[in-house]
Amino acid sequence: MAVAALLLASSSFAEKPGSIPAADQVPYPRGYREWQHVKSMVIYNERHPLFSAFGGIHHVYANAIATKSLKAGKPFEDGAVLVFDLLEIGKTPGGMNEGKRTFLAVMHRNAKKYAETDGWGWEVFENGDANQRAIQTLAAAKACSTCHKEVGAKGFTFADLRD
Amino acid sequence: MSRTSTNPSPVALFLLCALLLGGLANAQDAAQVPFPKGFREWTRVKSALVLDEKHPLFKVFSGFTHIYANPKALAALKSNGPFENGAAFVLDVLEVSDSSGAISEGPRKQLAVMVRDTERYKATGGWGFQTFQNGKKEKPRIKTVADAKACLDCHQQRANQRLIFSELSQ
Repeated sequence: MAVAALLLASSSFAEKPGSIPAADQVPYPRGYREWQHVKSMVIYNERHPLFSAFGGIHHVYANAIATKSLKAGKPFEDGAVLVFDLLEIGKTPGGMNEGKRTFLAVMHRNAKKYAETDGWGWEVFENGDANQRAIQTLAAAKACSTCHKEVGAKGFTFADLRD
Repeated sequence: MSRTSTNPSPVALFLLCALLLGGLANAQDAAQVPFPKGFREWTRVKSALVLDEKHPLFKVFSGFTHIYANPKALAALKSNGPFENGAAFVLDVLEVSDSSGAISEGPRKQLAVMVRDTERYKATGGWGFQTFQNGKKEKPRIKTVADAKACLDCHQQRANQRLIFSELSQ
């Protein structure tokens, strides 16, 4: 019975062309809020080319493996993870605060598994919810990696560790 | 007999002086807070931007600010329990660099520190206060207990939140 259910599940996956197999899905980055804070930025209006995709306050975090590479300026090893935590802008008189989470974008390094997308797995968790994956297909993941090719020389990552 | 009791020996005088000087040094020490070495690896608690004079903190804390907590401070935030001695918070205040619809982090303006020690900082609510100009260890701006009390005065409005403004953001 269990085997039959698994077979059914896998065949239904196979029916969606280009969908990412479960084994290749990027894991939710549990505990990332306590990882190294790399840098932050606010994208607040359409004069910025990334406003429609990434408008808000964002913080970038790196896990221990990724932090080691950022500090040493060395290539990222398998298991390196970077998280882009996008929050709404809460306006206060004369300032800005952090609002609720828009999404959590994740880059997960595995040179072999993600060879087709420059060695990184790409995922976006809507509202930061582990069950709301926005990147369903390889084509969607390629849209991420295509833009990141711009920083191919830096390991396909935009963020530098701030002082 | 009377000779020994009325004329203190040079050794005794030296010890007395050393004790007095030591006492003075301790009094000064009370306002001092160690530089928060390694704070960039602590947990980011929350962030805020203070951009113009409409914000009540503009004069003191304008900029792009991140608050970090060391492991002891983080444990107390999470459990809502008391802050142990050694718990520390850092306000990392950076310049605002505003261009083309985005605000980036600029150079460091100041690094404000609160560190918990109920004995050492008894005069200021059990917290030591310091701020390092441009994040430079050799540029502390809080020189006296009176300076530290000015910090505390403002933090008193959070007396019911253990004198702390930040809560761990989501």
